[in-house]
Order: sequence, then C-alpha cells, then structure tokens
Amino acid sequence: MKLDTESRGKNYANYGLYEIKEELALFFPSVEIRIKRKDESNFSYLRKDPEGKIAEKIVPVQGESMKIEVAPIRPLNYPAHRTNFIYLKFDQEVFLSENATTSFLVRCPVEIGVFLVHDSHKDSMDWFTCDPSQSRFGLYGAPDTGNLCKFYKVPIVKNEFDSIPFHNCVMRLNFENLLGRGYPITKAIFPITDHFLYYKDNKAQLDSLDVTLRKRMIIEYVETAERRLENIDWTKSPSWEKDTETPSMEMGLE
Amino acid sequence: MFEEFFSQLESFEIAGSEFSLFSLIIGGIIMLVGIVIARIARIIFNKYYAPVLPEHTAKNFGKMIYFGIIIIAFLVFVTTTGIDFTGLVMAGGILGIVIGFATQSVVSNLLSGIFLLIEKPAKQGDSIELPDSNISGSFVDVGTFSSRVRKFDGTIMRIPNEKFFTSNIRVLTDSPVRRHETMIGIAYKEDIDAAIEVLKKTISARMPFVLHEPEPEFRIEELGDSSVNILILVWHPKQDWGKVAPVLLKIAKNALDDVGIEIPFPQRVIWNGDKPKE
Repeated sequence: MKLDTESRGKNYANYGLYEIKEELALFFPSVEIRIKRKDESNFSYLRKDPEGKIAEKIVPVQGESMKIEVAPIRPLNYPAHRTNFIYLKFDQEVFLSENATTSFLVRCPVEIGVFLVHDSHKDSMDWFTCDPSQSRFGLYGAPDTGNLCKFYKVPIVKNEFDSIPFHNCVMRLNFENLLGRGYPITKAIFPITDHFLYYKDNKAQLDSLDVTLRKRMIIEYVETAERRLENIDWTKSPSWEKDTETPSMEMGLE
Repeated sequence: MFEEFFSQLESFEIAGSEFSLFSLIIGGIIMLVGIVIARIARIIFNKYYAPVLPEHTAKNFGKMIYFGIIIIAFLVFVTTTGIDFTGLVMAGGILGIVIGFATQSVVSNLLSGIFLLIEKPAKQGDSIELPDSNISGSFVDVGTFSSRVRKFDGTIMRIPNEKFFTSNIRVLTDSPVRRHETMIGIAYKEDIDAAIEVLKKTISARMPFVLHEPEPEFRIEELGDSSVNILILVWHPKQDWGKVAPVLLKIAKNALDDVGIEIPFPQRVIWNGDKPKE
C-alpha cells in the first residue's frame, strides 16, 4: 500500500464517526490513515506518521462494516506515557492584582485517538500526534519532589474556535488571587486526566480549569479544580485514562 | 499391637517434661493447621490485596502474615503440649554461646535484613548503585540473609545483608527526573555561541525525552589542549536514561558535523633532529 501524504494538499478529514465498508483514506497534517477490507471478516489498518514510521495492523470485525471514531485525546502519550500532568507556559505574562479574578483562553495541545466502535464500546485502537516536535517534558518543582509534566509553550487566544486543527484545542482558565498581593501568572500545571475533550468538525475544546492562589498562614499555594463544559453542542471524546482520584489539588507556588 | 504400642507411649519424658502421645498428636495437628492457614492467608493476601500495594510492601506484608501465623501456631502448640523450655534453655546456654560465635555473620546478616526492611533504602524495581562495590542494577528484594540486585546485564548479584546495609546506596530512580551530562570539544577557531545554538536546537528537535524545563544547560568546562570543551547537561524522566545518555554524544557530534564546526583531536608533530644523508 503506497502512501502519498504530500500530494493530498490540505483536504484533511474531520473528527467524528466513520463507517468503512470497503476502503477509507483519512488525511491529517503529516499523517495519513488507510483502512481497507482484507477479507470477509478482517480489515487492514495502516498509518504513516510525521517521522515516516508506518504502523500496520489487522482488525477483525463482526458484521459487514468497520466503524471507527477519530477524536482528539489528551496529549500524554508521545513520546511515552510518563505522567498525567500538563505544564502550560503562557507566551505572555498575566499580572493578577490582589483579590482580582480573570479568565482567558489558551491553546492546549492534543493528540488524536482512533477508536474502534463495536456494540456500545469504543476501544482505543491507535493514537498519534500531528506535531511530535512540540511534545516534550518539563518539571514543576524541585528535581527530588517536583512533578514531571508534559510541557508546552502556549499562546493566549480570543475564542474557543481559535485552535489549529489536529494540533491543539482551546481551554478556558479562570484565575482568582487570594494571596493578599499581586502575582504574575506565567503558567498552569494540572492533572489533565480530570479534563474531557470535546470536538466539532476539526476543532476541539477542553474542560475549563479553575485556579485559586491562596495563602494559609505564611504558606502560599495554588489550588486547581476542573470545571466541566456545559450546554455545548460539541461531541465528547472517548478516553481510556483513569481519572485522577481527587478532582482538585494543591501545589506549592513556585 | 497398635493398642499396646500406644499404651507404652502414652506418656514419656523429655528434658524433665512429661508428654502424652495424645497431646503431641493434637500439637502436630495445630502446627499443620497453622501452616495451612498461613499459606491460605498468604494466597488470599497476594490475590486480593497485594496488587494494590507497592511491590516491596506487598512482599514484606506477605512474609509478616505467613510467619506471624506460624509463630502463633507454634505458641499454641507449646501451650497445648505443655513443653517447658526452661530445661532446654539452661542446657542450651553454653551451646548457644558456642553457636553464637560460630554464626556471628549469620545473625548479623539476619538483623541487617530486618533493619533493611524497616529502613527501606530502596524500593523493589528501583535502579540502584553501590559505588563501593561497583555494583549497579535493579533492586530485587531483601531476603533472610542476603539482598538481591539484578545487574543491567541480566545477572543476579547476591549481596549479604550486612554488606548491603553498611554500603553507600545510590538510588537512581527515586526522583521523577535525572540529569545526564556529557562533554564535547570544539576547535579554538569556532564560534562558541553558534556551536551552543546548534547543539540546543538539535537536542530540542531530536531528543523528545530531554526536558524543556529545566532547559538543557551548556557550560564551557575547560580550555583544553586542543579544544574548547563544552559540558552539556540535560534532564530526562527517570525511566528514560537509556533513550538519552547513550545517544546524546552521537547527536551532538552529528549536529556539529552537519554545520561544519570542527571537533579537534590531539595532534603531535614529531621533528627528526638528524639531517637526512645526501
């Protein structure tokens, strides 16, 4: 099977459900997927990634067709799953004065998951990233006690559609400063397994994050909690990671 | 015949204590039941509770449950049969001293093992290094008399508990991240900042396991005999030493080669003092 991503131009596929009876080709930035019927009960699945590697598998199916869902997933898997934490470093500093609140949108990277849909289950069949060069690790805190995170430098954006398809999504951050002094905000660190992704066509959104800067006695700390997106007509992405047991957490202020 | 045999053995004396055959049989059954219960308890623990505990904690708890039940069974056995150990203790006193001297290292290893279980210098599966003994590998477990380390070449090294307990132990995987450093030299004529920029960009692009926060660090370590030596320090997740350390120098050298920055090597010019004969 020959792959030819370069000649495809920019006609990329959308997120969503696909039913394959004989053959399907899906194109994403630097990645292409081809699914083809092999025989009565088997399909072949082939993916070429941005590094030129080809992943190939045989997928036995029951019934006449194969159904898949392509959806944005949390950016935790490339180059290897090592943590559930995300470290977003903003391209601009936001200064939050004493007792002030603010809310803004940032881009958050995503990976793309391919789920095999059968009966009422959605099994993770494959995943990939369209932008492996941006998927890196970072440390929040000291080397012995800190948290290993997936690290991304992200821009602040204006609306929830302001994401680059298949590369990132948009998430809302709500900050509240109860420190008793002004504080510059340059980053957000949180366990992303508490957050769900939602998609519409080729755009994606992530659940919001509430961040409260607090002071207990003389110790300053950060409290984070996820906030579900409500009343939106976007489709919720499937996920397989186990949610963090505590929906909110505290971290030292660095 | 059996009745005669049992009646003859109905009661007998050992070390001044009188026993009945019946009490010994009961005692034996108690011990047997104790061992069976201990094994069942260990199986249940291993099946239902051990999977949710850290491996080393689960193993230690398993041992405690097993031996705890056996000790309780033994105490019940002693109480039931009415064995008086006073005589044995008196008789064994001198023997105990002799055995004590002879088994000094055995006792020392046993006690060191207990202290290691209490102190827990490393967890099962941690990568450790004993610099004094030049041993490094993955920590397997603490046994009754010795600890085991699976070396990186796949072999198992058995270390007496006393030696392990008194050694300097470097745990390589206790922190979430580790730092690796390597040195590369460039020629004196080359632009140092340009070389560092090339190294920074290449590491960022080609080494996904190198942390971006803290960023890789570049220090001019030495003005060497034939090169300016740059020390490269990079952080990586603790599990991924193998994906960073063995390839960092290769990637750095290739990056400098690609842009034509010279990596010099020592050269010696030898002058022959004699004039060649004409």
